[in-house]
Amino acid sequence: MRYYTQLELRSLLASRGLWVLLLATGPLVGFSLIEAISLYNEASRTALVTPQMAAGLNPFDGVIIPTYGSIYLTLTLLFPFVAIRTIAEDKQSGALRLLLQLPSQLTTLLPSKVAAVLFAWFLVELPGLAALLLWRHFGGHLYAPEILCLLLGQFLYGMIVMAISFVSAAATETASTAALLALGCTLGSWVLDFVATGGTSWLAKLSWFSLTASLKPFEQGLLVWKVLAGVVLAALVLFALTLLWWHPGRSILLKLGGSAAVLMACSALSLPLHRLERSIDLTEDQRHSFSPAVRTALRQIRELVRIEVYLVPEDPRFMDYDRSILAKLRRVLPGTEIVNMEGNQAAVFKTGEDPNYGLVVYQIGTRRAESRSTSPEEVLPLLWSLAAVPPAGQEDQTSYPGYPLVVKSTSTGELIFYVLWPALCFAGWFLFSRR
Amino acid sequence: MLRVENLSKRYGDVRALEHVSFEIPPNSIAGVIGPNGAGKTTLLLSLAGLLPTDGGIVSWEDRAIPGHSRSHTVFYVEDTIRPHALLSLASALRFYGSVFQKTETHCDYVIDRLRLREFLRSRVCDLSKGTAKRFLIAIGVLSTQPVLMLDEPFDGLDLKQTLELVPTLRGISAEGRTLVLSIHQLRDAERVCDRFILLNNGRIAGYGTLDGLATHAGRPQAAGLEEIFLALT
Repeated sequence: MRYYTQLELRSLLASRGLWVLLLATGPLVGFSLIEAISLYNEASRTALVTPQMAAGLNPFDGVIIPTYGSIYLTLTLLFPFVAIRTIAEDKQSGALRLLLQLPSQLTTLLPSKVAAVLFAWFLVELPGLAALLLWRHFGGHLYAPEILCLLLGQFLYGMIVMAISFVSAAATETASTAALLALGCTLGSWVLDFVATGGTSWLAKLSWFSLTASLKPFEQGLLVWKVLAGVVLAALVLFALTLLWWHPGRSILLKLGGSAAVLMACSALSLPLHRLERSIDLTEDQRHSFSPAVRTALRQIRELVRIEVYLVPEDPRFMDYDRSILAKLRRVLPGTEIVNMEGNQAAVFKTGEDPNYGLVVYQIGTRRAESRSTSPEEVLPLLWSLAAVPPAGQEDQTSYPGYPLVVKSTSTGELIFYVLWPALCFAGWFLFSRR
Repeated sequence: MLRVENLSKRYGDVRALEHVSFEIPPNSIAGVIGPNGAGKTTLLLSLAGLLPTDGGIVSWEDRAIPGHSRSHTVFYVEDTIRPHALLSLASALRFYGSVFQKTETHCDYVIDRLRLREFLRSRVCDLSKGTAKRFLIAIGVLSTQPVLMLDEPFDGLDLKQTLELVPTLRGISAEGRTLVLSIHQLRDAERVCDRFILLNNGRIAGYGTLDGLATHAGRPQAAGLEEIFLALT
């Protein structure tokens, strides 16, 4: 395994594709960071004058996520080419047929390629890590659990993009066809996610399985076990399919039969995932959670809670209601049944003509109540009253202070990302292409 | 003994191999002879388990070996490939030497025997055709499987290099390995092979020693391979 990994790493470092990817990533990350800091500066100036606004200034959302957005872009658009190359190059150069005859099998070859591409992923993440250090250097605040959650999401995203690229390269004859297939998946899921935003149609349900959707909770500081397990399972399935389709000595019938068996096993394994409802809110301001007292009070509700919402998903009231109540409620009471009665209707046709529009009906056991409020201050007492449980007691709330910061100069960032990083990329390419 | 029975392979409507059967005794050097398109490469790929076949049995020492485990017995080096193109010759050979658990002394011996030392720092993609061919042969020599198959080992080599390679191949055979060489230059084949498998349009036109083939073709014992091949095809 060691020799194979060394071979893969040498080939990877000698390829221009990796250095082009890195060359593009650094300035992109730098640009995103500097732009994000500039906008954060503007907001911070106001917050420093009006301290009440400071609580709304979260550097994770304001600076870190926009910066990592550029890494997401390179992982989606450029990283597949590097991953595809590791398999397609062997096919085209004839190395694969030699490697297949070595004492080790494909099961050794694949992990060595995974290790090499993970190393490429790590190099792509380096500008992001540099951005984090730079933000700290500027005096910015970072909350470690949020950052680790984001990095875990980036790792899983890189892993799934790699797995898609591998199976594309294994199943096709040329690198260009593999690139078309892989980009079709990555960009296709991106488009799907965009088209289906907020809807409850079958397209929207399908978009839950998109790559973007898998990364989103991690970018929100939410560790959703179902998503984590789903992405790991999907990557393992794709690696298994790669092993099946990679070997040129297998007949097409064997490959198809094996693929069917792998997909059936995947379906069987994914069934228990639906029950994995737990998630961990890793944000500093605990924005995805009710306060501990509210959570304790809600957990006393033993009966099934059913909520019927008469709001279209695109309605800002629904978005606010979903964010401030439904999402948090789902985390405390995973069995809660939420039905959107307007889910398949277009907002433009519904508002104004339906007398029920805007209504939310709560049912606990046989007791029902209606409300048009989307505020937790009104909805929570209604739930406690309906469930006949004691309301949440008073608690000392340590409110999120917010972290306004005005960075005087970002010239260090410009030097690092626009000068030093490209120079390092050129030096790296020059050094490794001659070994 | 490498035994092949009824090996068949079709590409759509084209019959690339049709009920190919032959035997190669151990420690011999067998040449697969045939014109372009006769099915030589398809035969070697199938024997190596790198191409799915439509039927047939391949046995080694009287034991049938299925396609997926053929790599324990057979090592095949294709013609006109440039594996690990961006690596230096030294890195690539070091890798193959390591996975086949060869000592550094043995690797050095192979490098010197095939006159590759002066190219060790060159990238594989920068090698000339002849040097690249010797690099591929070096990989084959480093391998440890009892059967080594080389596709067109003399292609790209000049006369001097060809004459130098012949004793190297004989040496491999003498060390206890069976060699199967796909050769379309009959003169080169006569120089090195002690047995021949004549292939024409995916079918076996004859196999055995030169004397045996001459008898089979009804030609005098002194007849050359070219004359025998033309008589049988």
